[in-house]
Amino acid sequence: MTDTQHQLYLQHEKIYPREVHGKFALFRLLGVVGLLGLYFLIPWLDWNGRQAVLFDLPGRKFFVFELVIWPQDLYFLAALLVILGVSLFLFTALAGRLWCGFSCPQTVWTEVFLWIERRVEGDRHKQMRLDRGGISVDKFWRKSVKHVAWLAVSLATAVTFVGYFKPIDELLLELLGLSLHPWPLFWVFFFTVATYVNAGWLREQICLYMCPYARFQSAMFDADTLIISYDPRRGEPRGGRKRGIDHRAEGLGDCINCKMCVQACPTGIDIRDGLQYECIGCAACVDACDGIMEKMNYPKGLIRYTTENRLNNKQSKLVRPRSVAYSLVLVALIAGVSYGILNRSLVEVDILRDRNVLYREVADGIENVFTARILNKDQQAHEYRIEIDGLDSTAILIDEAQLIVPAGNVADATLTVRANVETQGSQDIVIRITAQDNTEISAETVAKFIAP
Amino acid sequence: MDFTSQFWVYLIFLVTVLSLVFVVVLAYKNRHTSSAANETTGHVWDEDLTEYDNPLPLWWLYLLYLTVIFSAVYLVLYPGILPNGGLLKWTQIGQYDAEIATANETYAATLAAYGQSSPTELAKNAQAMKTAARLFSQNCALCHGADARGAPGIPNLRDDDWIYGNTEESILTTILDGRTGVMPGWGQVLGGREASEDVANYVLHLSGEVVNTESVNRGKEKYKTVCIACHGVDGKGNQLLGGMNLTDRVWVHGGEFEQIVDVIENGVTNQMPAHRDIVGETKAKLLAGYVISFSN
Repeated sequence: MTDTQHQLYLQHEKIYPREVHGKFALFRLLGVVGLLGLYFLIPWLDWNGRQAVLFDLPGRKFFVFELVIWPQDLYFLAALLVILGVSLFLFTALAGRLWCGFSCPQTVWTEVFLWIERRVEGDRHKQMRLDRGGISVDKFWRKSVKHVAWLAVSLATAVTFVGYFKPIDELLLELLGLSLHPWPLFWVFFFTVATYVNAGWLREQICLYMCPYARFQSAMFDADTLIISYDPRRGEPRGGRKRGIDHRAEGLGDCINCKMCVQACPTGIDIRDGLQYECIGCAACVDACDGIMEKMNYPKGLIRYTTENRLNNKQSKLVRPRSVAYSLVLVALIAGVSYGILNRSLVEVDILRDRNVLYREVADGIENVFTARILNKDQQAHEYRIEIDGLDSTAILIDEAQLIVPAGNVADATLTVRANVETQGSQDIVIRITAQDNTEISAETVAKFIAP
Repeated sequence: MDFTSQFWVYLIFLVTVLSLVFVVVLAYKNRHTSSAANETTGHVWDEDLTEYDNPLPLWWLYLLYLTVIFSAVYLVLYPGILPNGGLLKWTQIGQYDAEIATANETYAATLAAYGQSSPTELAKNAQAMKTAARLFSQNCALCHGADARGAPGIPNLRDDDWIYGNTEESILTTILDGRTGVMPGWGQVLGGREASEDVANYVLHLSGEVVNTESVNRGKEKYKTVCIACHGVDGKGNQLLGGMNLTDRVWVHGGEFEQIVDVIENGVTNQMPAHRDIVGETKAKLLAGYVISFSN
């Protein structure tokens, strides 16, 4: 390797974030406990005798408490995704990378893994010493315990995750009884490995190299967005000093160059270099610096949540075109989707024209044959009646006398529609089905009636 | 592989292997770069926008190696680059057969139970009729219609008119072994178009239509000479021969005067295909039961 040659690829260096205590660390702890609590608890909730939240892929039905989403309703999920996207935009515009620092699964699980690592291997310095040192009994058991603990958390995560797609009590029983079908078993294995590798090994590299949000979030930023920033006006020139001296008189700023902020950073950057895309906004450096400022008897907030405008001694506005626009879009979307979900039809009908002949001439008329596929999306059985509009004189023959469709089921009914002999050409007809016991539950479809 | 010449097989093998080797060599040889860390790519946009040429993480390179290994293994295990398919001997038809075998195994017990019953018993079994309705829409509806009411030239299964009879045996025979219905063309024998028209009028008269009495009488005489053999003295047909009933106003091949004349003159051959090899005995029983259930 000559002097002009450099590695195109970077050997990864492990980051050992220093454990910090403070306002934001507490805030994140609450977030982690709350979110993980929800994640692990939700699959165990029951609703009307079934799992409250279950994404039944083989059955093509998603259950979310009272709501049952059929493949035909999938746009609700798409809309939900758009709502989440826009709310991410809004929160990013207002408060920067709130998502990354406090609620992203990557952060939440990494936080858990870091906690385990610190309990087993000790603080940052002990961890570094352990990794530098050669193999020893102490190192061996500490590493073993750590990885076993990591894998245990990963396994719990994976089982819970698969439990959102396959009833979790069933899943656990089959897993413990070693009778789990190979596919769920594969996914349990897959998500165990994925969690272990992500939160144990990849950590900040996901944010730096893979996460698309990390790269495009800057598009939502403006000068009024909350960012974590070092205040160079107050801090510079930085430098070490003796305790209790008047550092202003010495020509020094408030920054004592202790590098606590760098050690606390989970992505390994120096916040004093300014806003960087690597910064996930976790505020660990804020807590770290505030602790030092307190010890030095300096005012807190050398590193703080602020905005570009306020850093430059300008006014920062909460209400501005960007935040207003995102809010309006968000409100409109939420209103639209709520309206859609509350007013969605609990029955749907698909009309399939029979494939063998266009029409059939019989003694007393002309017949067309359709298959009506009735989807009862309600959670109780209904008996339906079928009506037809658009032909002068029609009769419908339904060969299956009963049109009772059980709750959450699909039934086919063959309809023979008979028009009088004089009917000519093709014309649109409306096929409408209505629940006998509740005329509000109704659906209609336009079909073609074909005559000679 | 179905190439006419093995040349292509070897060409594809060679090109694929060389491409994989090329990718690995290219990535390996270019591990190093001449630009130092924190150097920019040299591209400038919008006057002052530049781009850092930062190194990728090392595992990124390993990912590339992994994908190459994966593709090599995949191409060898599955029909990829080997001349005679993959080492796993996987084929589409093989997978299809395996899935059919699994399905047959799954439904074997249910079907075996149905096989013990007669079609008439099955017709009263709601669960069996659900299965039968599916079998009908898969195998029969294409011709007989989703509502089983037939089409021009194809009998209606819901009416009370039975060409070969409504016993379990005859329905089963129809489904399993098929039927070939032949009405010969009688134009020449009867003596031309006019004679056929007379017979057609007689046939319409049998169904109670009011038509030219003279023509009917002439037609009746002709009818006695030929048609009577299959359709019977009274025109009620013969279910053993498949001679159709001409008195019930059910017209498989159309009830218009012109259509009847055409059948008499030129004849018609109709085919119900045998389904023994397609559905087998048990499913045929279910289907026979389904057809019988229409009459209940």
